[in-house]
Amino acid sequence: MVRYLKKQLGFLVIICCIVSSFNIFSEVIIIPPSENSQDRLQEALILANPGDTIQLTSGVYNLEDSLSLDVDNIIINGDGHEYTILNFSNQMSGAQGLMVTSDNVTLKDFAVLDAKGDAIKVKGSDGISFINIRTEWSGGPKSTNGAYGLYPVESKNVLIDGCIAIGASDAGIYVGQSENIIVRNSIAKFNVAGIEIENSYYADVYSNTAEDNTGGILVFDLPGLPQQGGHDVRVFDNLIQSNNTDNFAPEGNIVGEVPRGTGIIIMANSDIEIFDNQIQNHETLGIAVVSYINDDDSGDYTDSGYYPHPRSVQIHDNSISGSGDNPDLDKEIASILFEISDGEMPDIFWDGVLPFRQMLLGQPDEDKLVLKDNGDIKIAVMNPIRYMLSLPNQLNRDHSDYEGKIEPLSPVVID
Amino acid sequence: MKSNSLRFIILLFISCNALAVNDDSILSDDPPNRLSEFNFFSDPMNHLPNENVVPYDLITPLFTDYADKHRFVYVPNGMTAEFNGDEVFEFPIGAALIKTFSYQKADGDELLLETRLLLHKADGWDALTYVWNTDQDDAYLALGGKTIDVKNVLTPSNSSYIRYRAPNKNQCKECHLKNDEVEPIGPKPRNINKQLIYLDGIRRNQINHWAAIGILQKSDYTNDLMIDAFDENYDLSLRARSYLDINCGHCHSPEGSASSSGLYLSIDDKNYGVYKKPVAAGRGSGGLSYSIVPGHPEESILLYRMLSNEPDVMMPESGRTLMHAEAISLMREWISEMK
Repeated sequence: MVRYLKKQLGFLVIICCIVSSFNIFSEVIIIPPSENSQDRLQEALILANPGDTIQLTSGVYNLEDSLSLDVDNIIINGDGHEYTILNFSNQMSGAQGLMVTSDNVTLKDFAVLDAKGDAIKVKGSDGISFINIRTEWSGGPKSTNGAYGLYPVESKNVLIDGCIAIGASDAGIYVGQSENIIVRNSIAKFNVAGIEIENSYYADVYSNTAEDNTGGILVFDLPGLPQQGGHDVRVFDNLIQSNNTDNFAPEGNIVGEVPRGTGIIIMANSDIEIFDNQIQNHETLGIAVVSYINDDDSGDYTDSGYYPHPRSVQIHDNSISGSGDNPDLDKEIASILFEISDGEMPDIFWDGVLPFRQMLLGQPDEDKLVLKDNGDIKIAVMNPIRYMLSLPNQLNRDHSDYEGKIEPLSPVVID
Repeated sequence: MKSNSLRFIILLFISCNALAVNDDSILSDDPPNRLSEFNFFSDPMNHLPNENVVPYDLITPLFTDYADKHRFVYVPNGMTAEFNGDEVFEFPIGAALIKTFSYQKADGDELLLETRLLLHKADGWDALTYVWNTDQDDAYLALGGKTIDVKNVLTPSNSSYIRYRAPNKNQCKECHLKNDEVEPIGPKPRNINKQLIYLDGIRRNQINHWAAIGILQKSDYTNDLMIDAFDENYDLSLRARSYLDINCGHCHSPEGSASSSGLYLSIDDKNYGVYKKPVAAGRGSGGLSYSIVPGHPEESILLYRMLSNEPDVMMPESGRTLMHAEAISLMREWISEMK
């Protein structure tokens, strides 16, 4: 019918249809919790039409299998993350609680509790918003908890706002291989990584609280993935404190190498700006800037297109305090630093690892690390060649070598 | 099992009574509620097809909790599927792929579980499943999937109970997604290039037969890359790669649902996980560092995940609740001998 009208009346009617579509064509489908929550909810998610809202009510939805949504333009709305609970503690199948694979989806005001694997995974979505969502493993930090709380991957235009992520055995909030990302006003605690941005382009992470994780905020780039070369990530106005929980990640995962008591780690990536954050009380260190180093005997998964070193990292106007009074010496990065710093752990550390030519002849100016106006802090930059050859002066602690002009990155705009 | 003579009589009967498939129901936006409305079968319980519905088999099938699978392809009269390199055939609009899952019960009868359909509509493939009723006389559309408690069936696993899951529509897509479009998995030339004994008792090569009856473009296809993973006459590594291709390769490909893992397992992928580190695997890594460590199956994540039945560890993520013991042995042997 719509097609017929379009032909008859042209553009005007199309506009009218769009404007009025929320009233005429879209529906609010209310699904209260019931004995049969699994089937009722899953059927509603399958039968929904674009524009519909799936309205969850207060109460506990007991679910045995993962739920999934593959319809565009859908809102899944609850009564608040304290009241609307998707409970997966008896999950029998599925590698995540809720899976979303469609575009323009808003998840709002509910909680996903005790999923067997990841809590909410979103794959290949353009336009995904998590608003006031809570993902939690109720038994506290355990290696048997699921890997990720909020987990958008291979997605575009990702908004995470007002969310809470607790207890993930990898990252509470994890955005991987995505583009145009805002993570704000959210809380991540008792995860291994609080917030992690991995192999992603254009991310703003601001006004969040990351506390009591193993590491507060990680910006990583890993080899061997379809999207790599992470760049343009801004981390600002966050409260990052007391991320001193022992690392409880299952071994084999990259976050398993994060030392307890780390505020921020930048690994590989380019064009990173870290500013106006309050970073305090970390038993290992405040901020680490490191290369992805493959020191396996077996050699890494071969990947010629991967650049393992951080470039153009700017760290300025942060307030950093209380770093390094009980470093996690079980982790290699912390033990090496402890050794070469004679136990005097810095607030900011760069491993100094570069392509060999650059370690001898110097970096291009535009690639250089810039540290500015971070107050009265200790820095340490390793000289890897001196370290390998056991020569003296393996650490540079002189701020003046890293002063430079700040070139602010542009804010992220979500389409 | 029906005796051959009975089969022959039934065959005679249906050859006189074979009816046309209901093409409208394949193309309809509103799929019918009952499987029988498609008219794919003259005798569905015995898997006897109607006109232009042709049984087929795969060289190595995908494992689904040891369920038996009865596969059929339907191509409308006068139409032809075409080759698309060694990828899934280009089927015409109106084609259908039909697969019934069943077990043999302890009393010898067959228990029909579900019939999955892939219907080729104008805007692409649609994946649906129909779950058989307790009377076993028809199957009903189950968009949300269904959990079926299966007891007293014969499988090599000796499991007395199987929590069989008929997939919901989205779970169908999980495996059948390629570049955001639903696509069949099985009917690639390399998977069907084998002999099959047809209902008339005659053994024919499937590709030749499809061409002879006019549902497939004629060809001189000769690729024999895929082999029966459990035929010990073949090279061990080829057997293992064939198993991984059909069981894992559809998701573990750059266009599939597991694209973000960076682990690709089609038979022609070069890396297939040797010294590949896990990404976002969580507990799935089992504390191990690589997908495959040559010579060390006990250190290989790939085998670890086949040995698990826990939802967040097991691979594949859906489609099985039992372990595939024969495949586990195959992988163990392959990785042990790998250098």
